Amino acid sequence: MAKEKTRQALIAHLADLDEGYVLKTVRRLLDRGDDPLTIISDCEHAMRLVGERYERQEYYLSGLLMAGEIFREVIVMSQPSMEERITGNASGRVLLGTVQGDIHDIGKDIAALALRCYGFTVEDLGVDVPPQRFLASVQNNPPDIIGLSGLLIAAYESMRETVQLVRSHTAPGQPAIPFIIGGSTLSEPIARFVGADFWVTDALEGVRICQRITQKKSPT
Amino acid sequence: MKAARRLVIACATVIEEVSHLLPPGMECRTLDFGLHSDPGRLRRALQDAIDASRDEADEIILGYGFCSQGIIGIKAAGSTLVVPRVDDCIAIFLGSSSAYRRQSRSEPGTYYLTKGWIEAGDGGPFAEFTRMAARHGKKNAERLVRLMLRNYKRLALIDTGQYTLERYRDYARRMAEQFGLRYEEIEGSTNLVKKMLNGPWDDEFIVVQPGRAIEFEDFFRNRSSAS
Repeated sequence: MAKEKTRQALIAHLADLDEGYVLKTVRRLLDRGDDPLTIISDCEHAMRLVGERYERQEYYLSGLLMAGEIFREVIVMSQPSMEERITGNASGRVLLGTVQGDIHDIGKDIAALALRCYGFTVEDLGVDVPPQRFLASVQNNPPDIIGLSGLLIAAYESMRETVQLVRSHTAPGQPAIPFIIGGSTLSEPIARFVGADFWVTDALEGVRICQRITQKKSPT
Repeated sequence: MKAARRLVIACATVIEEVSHLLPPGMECRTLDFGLHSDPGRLRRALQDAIDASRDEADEIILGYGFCSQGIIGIKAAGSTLVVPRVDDCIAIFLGSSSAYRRQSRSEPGTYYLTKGWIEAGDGGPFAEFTRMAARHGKKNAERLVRLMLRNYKRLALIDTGQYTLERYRDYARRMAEQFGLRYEEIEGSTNLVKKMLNGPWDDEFIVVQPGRAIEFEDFFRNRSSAS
């Protein structure tokens, strides 16, 4: 019961953007051996509440960013405990980057952190990454999934160019590497334009898709 | 033949560049700038404004761009819609999509400002700073604005030649200095605005017949990274 109360309080305080309380509580929970996945899942719940408040115009963009920043800190704090719990093979390998012509990386960075928490190996190429760099990385060490991030319209074209370049270098008979595109302005028509397999506006939804893809690949 | 009745509906930031150039007799309506951060709300407000102008114009000129898809799905039952084929208002201020691309390629991490953006409270990191500082304290506000501007290197004030820059220059310089951005003034152009108001509506514009909705493909048709 006390645990349940603590969880609810953590969710409420993150939704209220109370950074001090959230970080102190998470530290305490981790120190006493609570499951970091439960902590992260509770924080995801709080992030959804923050999103709802933004939609109701109770929060401005800064509220969303503040919540994202606190959530990022929670993931960073939880990472050592997560790593202790992950045994055996990693979940899979994800190549990530913000595409050429765009420099926005808040969502990409949260996705990278969360993916690592869930046992993925992440190669993050950074921002303003040309299609050729993605291709070189794929050829050097083929990933299970490629994640392309971007916010600007210029990014849609770079995403499309990257997808086309990498696919054009896929040898016949070789399985195509799935592409996930991520960014808060994306939509189904944009995903069709880009030729991506999946699209997300939420970094954590991207992590779920990566999990589904790799689980399908190795159903053990 | 009677001349077509034209009406302009534009974002408050674009109006700053349009109002001096409006041909005599052409009416103009302004929508709130704050809508740009919520494409769903922008779409509803724009559609309401068009519906409210029913029977007032044969051609409605929209002072918008793709604007995070806020323009997609918009239609007018009894008027032709005309909208510049641009990503957002920055291309309108710079005079063309290609000018915008040149600027973006030279420095992808550019935050653009104009008089309209500054007067409308810019809606971006700098306005957020004022709001955040009041609510969460200056230190937190600084931290968030730096987060919003991470990887940005340049603050570019666009000079469209429509007004004196002095007042806006001070603000823009101050913001650039406070957040460690390189300050530059770049030349804008009224070419696209003039064409938007007077025609010809060539490839730089999307012209949608009455009853048809503006579609995603209208913006991305024949588009390639080389353009």
